[in-house]
Amino acid sequence: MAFLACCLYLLLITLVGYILLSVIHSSDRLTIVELSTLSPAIGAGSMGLLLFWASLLGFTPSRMMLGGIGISALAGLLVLKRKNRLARIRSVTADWKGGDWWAFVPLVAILAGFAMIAVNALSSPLREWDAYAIWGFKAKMLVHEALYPIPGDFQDLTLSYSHLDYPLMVPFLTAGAYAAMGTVDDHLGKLVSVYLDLLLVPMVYLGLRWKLQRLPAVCLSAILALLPVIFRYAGVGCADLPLAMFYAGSIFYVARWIDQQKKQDLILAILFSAFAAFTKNEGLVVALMNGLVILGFGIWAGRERRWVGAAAFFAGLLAIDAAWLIWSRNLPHSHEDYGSRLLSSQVVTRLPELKQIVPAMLVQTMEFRDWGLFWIMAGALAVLGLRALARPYVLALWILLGLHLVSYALAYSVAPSELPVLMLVTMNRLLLHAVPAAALLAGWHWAEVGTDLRRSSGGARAARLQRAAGR
Amino acid sequence: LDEPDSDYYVGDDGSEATRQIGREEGLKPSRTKAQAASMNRGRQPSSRRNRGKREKILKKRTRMPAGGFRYLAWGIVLLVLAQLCWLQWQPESELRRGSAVTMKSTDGTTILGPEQVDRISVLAGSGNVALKLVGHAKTNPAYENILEYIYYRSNYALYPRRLYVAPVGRIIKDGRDIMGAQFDPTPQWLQAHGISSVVTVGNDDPGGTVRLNIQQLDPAGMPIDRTGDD
Repeated sequence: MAFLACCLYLLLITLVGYILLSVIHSSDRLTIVELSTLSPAIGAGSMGLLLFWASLLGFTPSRMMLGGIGISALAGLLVLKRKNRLARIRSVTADWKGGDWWAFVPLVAILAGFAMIAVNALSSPLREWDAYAIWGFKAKMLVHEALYPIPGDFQDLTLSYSHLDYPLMVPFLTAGAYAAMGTVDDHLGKLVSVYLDLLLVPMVYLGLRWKLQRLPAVCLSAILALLPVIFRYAGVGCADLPLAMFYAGSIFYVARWIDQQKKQDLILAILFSAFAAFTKNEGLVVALMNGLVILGFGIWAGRERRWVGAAAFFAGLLAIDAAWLIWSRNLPHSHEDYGSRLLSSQVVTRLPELKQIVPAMLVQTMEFRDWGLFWIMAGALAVLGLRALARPYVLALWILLGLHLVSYALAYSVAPSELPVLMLVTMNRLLLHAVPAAALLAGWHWAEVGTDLRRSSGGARAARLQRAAGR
Repeated sequence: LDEPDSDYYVGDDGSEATRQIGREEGLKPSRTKAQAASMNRGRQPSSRRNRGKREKILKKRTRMPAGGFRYLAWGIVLLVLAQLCWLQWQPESELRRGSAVTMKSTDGTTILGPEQVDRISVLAGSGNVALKLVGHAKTNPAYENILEYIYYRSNYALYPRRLYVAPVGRIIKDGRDIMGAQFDPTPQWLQAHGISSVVTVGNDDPGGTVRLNIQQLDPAGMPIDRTGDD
């Protein structure tokens, strides 16, 4: 019964996401992969924020609250249906060419990996230290007490180890599952973690498919899904993979916005950036970087609309995350408090630490037991498809990845803990956050390798040329 | 599924690249620059945007045949895919390790499994719990990790009850802080904080196993009897 309740909760999340997606892509026809990836991802981010806002008003997650959200979602669905504005599945998809059938081989590997992760996750309680000390602990707190007035536990320094100032997306989504089940069951509660973590793969696939044919896109997605570090952290109840998933969505739509300037892409970039910022503190940094890159490319292009895009991005980000930023500003910061340290003079005085950090990061990318040959492959594909650097969106993604890694290196340099120990424990997780950018870059560079890839898209291009000739 | 963005393969400026592909597909080669530009979502080529570099890079000739690069890229990707499958097949892989934990329900990373620590919440009664260190646990740094683990895990399992390892207000971020607190609460303190049990951790034998002892208290904060021992 509890399992069914948890599944219904995930269904509700997907429904909320589908409605929002329909509002953004009004009446558009989307591929089945877009619908089945974006709906749960947008739904998860929105549900986490909804539960947070409700908690600020004094309501803890409960079945009644979820029922209310469900009824509102159904009403929204009916209204959109009557206005014929629901996003629909595109019935005519790209042709399956002879070689595309090979895509089932890596697809089976992806699904087998997913099944193993789900079985492992659901058959044990929270075991990862961060999962129960930070995220699971807060989920219990949130289902028990509303955030207004501020619960004493959030100001109790003996609980400093749980990083009282960490964002609450994952704890709220887990608390929602506990509320739906009517009990705190961390075996089944990990279903939420599995659901969020595994979305990373289709999210990256969406970005790869933008430029790549089906077979290479599935192969790269399979490489992502089979990374040992994914198996290490998927389904354990931590926030690293949800952050990577939201980050993947944000950088993909930032790149598409830079390339195409469609408002839907900008809205999705804002949403995913805001969700990332509410998932982990690192998310706020990458969200700001996304905005800066949009701004930078707007200035470079010298177009008014791109200025507007950057302004809209920052305004949207602030509007969505304002409640969190205001509520959390008085929470006791942990001894790490990277935000303050990165804004202090320590950044300059401890720059020499980079001599130790940068080589350690490079060595970590070569750690076969964590990454296989993933980073080497990404580098090789980038070299083979070097011409892709001429594309502004590829350049933008390189800048985003560079800023991301630089920010992490600087964070290490000001860390209060013993650096070698800290890097040993956290480096693979932090690089995991950057994996979506590396995977997308590998794919987008690969799309530029050789001329046959151009010919392979000839069907669609020919149709486009003929339409243009007809006009 | 979506087609890749077809514009990607069109020379942005109606250049030779565009016309060449058009000829390959049997289309009229008389496409004008303006028409080609209109296919690129109406954007005129902007020298300011790329300062001519983009076209230059796109038209750049390479010595190796393009098909060779393509096969090389495929070779790299398939090699990595095969290597990752092989890695997951290894006995020490994350996949196997996860499965082993699931099957055996033990945690190889700690001396005490979560189930054992979670017993504290069952044996501790209905109130809060205090942790006291005895013997070598007070000073031996080897105990730091285990103390940290017991504190984090027990607090999670006990919630909304609490495990106190230090006076309220003291910052506890790891096992060293727990040791440093030298927590030795008085019966009055125990009573005031609703403590119903005291867990003692430690061992007089420096090489011995970690011992957890749970003692229930009466409402006045005085020991009743010994109720659990691991």
